[in-house]
Amino acid sequence: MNNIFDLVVIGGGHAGVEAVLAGKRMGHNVALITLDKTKTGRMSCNPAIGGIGKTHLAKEIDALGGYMAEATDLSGIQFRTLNKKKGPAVQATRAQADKELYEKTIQAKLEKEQIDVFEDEVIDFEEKNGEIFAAVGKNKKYKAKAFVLTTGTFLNGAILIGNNKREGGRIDEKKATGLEKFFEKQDLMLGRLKTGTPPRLAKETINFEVLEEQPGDQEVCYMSFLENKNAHPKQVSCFITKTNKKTHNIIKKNIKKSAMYSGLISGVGPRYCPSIEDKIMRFSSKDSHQIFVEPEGLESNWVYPNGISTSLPGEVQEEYIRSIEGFESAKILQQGYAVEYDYIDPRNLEKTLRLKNFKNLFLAGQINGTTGYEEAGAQGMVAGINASLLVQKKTEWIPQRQNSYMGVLVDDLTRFGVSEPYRMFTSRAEHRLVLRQDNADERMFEAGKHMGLINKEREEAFLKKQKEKKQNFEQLRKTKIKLGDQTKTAHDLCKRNDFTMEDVKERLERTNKRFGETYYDIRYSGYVDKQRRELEKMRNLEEHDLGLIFDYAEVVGLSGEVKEKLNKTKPKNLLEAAGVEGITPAALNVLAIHLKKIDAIRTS
Amino acid sequence: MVGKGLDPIFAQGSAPGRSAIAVVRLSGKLPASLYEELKINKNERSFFLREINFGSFADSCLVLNFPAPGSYTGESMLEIQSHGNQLIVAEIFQWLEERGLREAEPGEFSKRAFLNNKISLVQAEGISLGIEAETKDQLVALDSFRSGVLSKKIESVMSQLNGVLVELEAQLDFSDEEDVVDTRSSVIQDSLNCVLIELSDLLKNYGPYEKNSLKKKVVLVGRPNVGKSSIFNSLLNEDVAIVSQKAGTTRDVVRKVLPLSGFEVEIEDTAGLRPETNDEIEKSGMNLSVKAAAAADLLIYVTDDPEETVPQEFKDHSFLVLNKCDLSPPPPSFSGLSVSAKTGEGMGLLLEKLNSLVSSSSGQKLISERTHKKLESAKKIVSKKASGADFFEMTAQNIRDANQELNEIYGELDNEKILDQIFNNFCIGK
Repeated sequence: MNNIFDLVVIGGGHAGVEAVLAGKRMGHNVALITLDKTKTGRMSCNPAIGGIGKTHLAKEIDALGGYMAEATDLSGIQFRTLNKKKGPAVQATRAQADKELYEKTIQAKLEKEQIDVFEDEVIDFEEKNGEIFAAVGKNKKYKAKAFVLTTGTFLNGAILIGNNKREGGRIDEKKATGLEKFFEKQDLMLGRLKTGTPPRLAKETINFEVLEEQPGDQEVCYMSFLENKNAHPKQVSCFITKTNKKTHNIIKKNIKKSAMYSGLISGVGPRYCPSIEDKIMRFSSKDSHQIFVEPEGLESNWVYPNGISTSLPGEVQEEYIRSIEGFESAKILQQGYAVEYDYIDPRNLEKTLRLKNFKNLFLAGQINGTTGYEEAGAQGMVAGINASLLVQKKTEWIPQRQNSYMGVLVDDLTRFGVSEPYRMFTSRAEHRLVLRQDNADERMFEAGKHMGLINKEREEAFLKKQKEKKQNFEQLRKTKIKLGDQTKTAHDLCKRNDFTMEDVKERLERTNKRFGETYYDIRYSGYVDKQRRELEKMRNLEEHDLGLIFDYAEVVGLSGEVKEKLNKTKPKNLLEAAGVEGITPAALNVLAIHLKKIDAIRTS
Repeated sequence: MVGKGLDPIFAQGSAPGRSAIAVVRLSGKLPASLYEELKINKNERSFFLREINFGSFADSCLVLNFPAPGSYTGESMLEIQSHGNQLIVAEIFQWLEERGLREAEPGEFSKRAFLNNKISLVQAEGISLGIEAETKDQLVALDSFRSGVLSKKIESVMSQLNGVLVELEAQLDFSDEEDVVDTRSSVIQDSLNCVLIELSDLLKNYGPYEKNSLKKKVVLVGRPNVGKSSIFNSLLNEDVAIVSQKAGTTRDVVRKVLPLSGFEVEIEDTAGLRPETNDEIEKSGMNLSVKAAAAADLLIYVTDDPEETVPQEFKDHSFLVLNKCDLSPPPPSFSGLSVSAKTGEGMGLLLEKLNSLVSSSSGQKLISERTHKKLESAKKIVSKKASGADFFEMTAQNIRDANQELNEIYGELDNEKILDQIFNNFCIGK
């Protein structure tokens, strides 16, 4: 077999899958290397896609032709809209997925796209002068023009249950070895993070009758902009139960046995996804915590009790599980565990997710310090697209904060690094009002089309939607409404607080299902203008070329720390300098003045 | 070893003209040869008496050395104190230019101090306004702006806004979490209203600094020919207004600055008021008098009739002065002040009275115009009422926008243009 590719993607998780599919869509000869083919696209943790902030990413992936949202529609067994009582910018479609169906759907897609998938373990790279020539697997060498590495939790991974620590990236799976040595050589500031999962329970041993039922939404909603192209399977309910005083006492009594409290774990876990041990120890005043009881699949006997991830020993897990209402005789199918893994400080990356030290090596997913399938998938897109653009010798593509959550994600990661596993929130996006889940297609279309990521089917769906919105818009424009002695158009009313969306809608002759989207487009149009002004301001900064400053030690007025940072990062222009952590506007002014001085000397 | 800093600059720190001493300050990458010539150890923070030879003559100067970064600008600084003659200062300037230094641009010292993080933008403005201030009142009023008391208040507003923002963001990003209980929009609006009151109070208590802020205006009014212009001239100790026996001599408002101890007041003489006149010019003069009286901080109602009282329309901020006491002394029942502009009798008392009335501070505090505008626009943003389904997101957006305005007061997000504007307002050397 010929092992020379345009693009090689290492890792078959959510980042790797989007990266390899993007490369394929852009017309390249691609390969995916993974430890176990049958686990490609696996949901290692919670069997769900979406969430506030996360759905925005999933929809942006979809808008660029990615597959996460379509796979969710094909395997989602419960769909709900979160934040339904709030405005559209913070609403999010969340789907409970059939875990097995999801990974089968992904694997089928890879097969359909005729992507070469190799089962192998990459242990090293062949490199010369910052250029990678080949990924060295245990079985073979894989030569390519560009590489995307997505190690997930497998880089130097360790599984911890109680006082038991063993190597591995997922329960009962081996870790990736060798690569950590490669990275150590590169001086990339490896750090350690941790995450955890709850014990999985056998469905047949749970007493659902005493649990509160949580059905999905009546109205059918879709993750993908292709909407009803991908019909959902049968829909089911989730359930809710909660911990109680007895549960808490069991955990408190055994707290020393938890891997997290015995000092076995050094990695930092996410604050917003604490283990049950953390919840109980840190919020001791609360005597109950909610647990979402989520089915892992339609046929599956596995149940995911969301909210009680743990690293307590197996026997303690069993004891506290059985103290919970509905779980009295529950059987644990797989123990909960904590996983610790290496990540690379993402400040080592360009905004294309290419490692600065290498010409053609891109990183995506948890290796960059993030958590979540959507965050991983979004990075897979950015890395896969830019690796392909590199192969094509074309200009890189950097998503911007102003028009996407992907932009917020790569900008946050590369500028600020991470101190805990990074998860997307809407509050991270200062342009939140205009970055809605429903307009992700509009926000990404131009870039996607330009890079050849949008197929005909997607383009048609997009144009149809645009046409529908335009019809609403025209209705709003031409409908005149008398208010006292003034005549306004319905369009004018959209921006007013004294008229609700329904008030405006009922004054129109006809509307279609895109009315809400049209309404909010108009309502938030002022923020679009503001965004444009900000982009212009940034472009101004971009025009200040810093290439003339060779040593920042010479720039008077900068603190030693700032000088060191600038010498290290070597920003191309003021815009990039503004993005360097710790650079204040005052420091930017110093740089601007210094540039003027250089200019004066050169032209005199 | 050269000093730390940008290219070396100098400026006169003392007022031009004759004085006991003149001060010239130097800042920047000062040439090592300069220290050598002055026989000063660059790193010794001290003062030195040096005879500086300017070629044709020499002057004995006190030289103060401020090694970087412990100086006003944060750069290496020297201060030369010569004898206070502009001719000597001119020699020093030339002497420095020969040694590669250049005269500073307006505000350049403070700009460097700002860029070296020695002072904040607000402090820089405070220094500038402090120099510009013309009255003691203005200095008193600028005190909390200059001392940083205001910054604490603004910080408090920002932290309250952030508190509301945290509440809002929790509702937006974690509404699916059990610990986040639904907050009603009315609760948010209540918290915002509290912040709004605080912002309104700030704006009420702090006015924007203008050249004439707090400068007191004293206006002389009264019937024609009671001797307003004579009192005006006598107060100023010079003949400014035309004085004649003829009633209605003063047609225009005549203004002059009266220096009192420590501050200045503007004093205005006006056309006399009488109910009937056919003279159009006199009529319009009287109109001007009424306008001037309305704008006055203090009215001196002049009369020559001890029976007359201050008319109702002038009752506010006024006091009665009986002129021509040399002709007929006031009856014992007269409670006002009696003077004679002609003989000067009682004029000392009048000056004293003016002094005490005008110098009582109004309590008004001042801030830079830029700061005032930022506070106003923050208030405007916080006052925007959001409602409807997107109340939380809209309110969060408003708070972020308001905080940005408040942040800019301290130069966090200001662009260079604003900086230049601010620093160009500085006089040279400060």
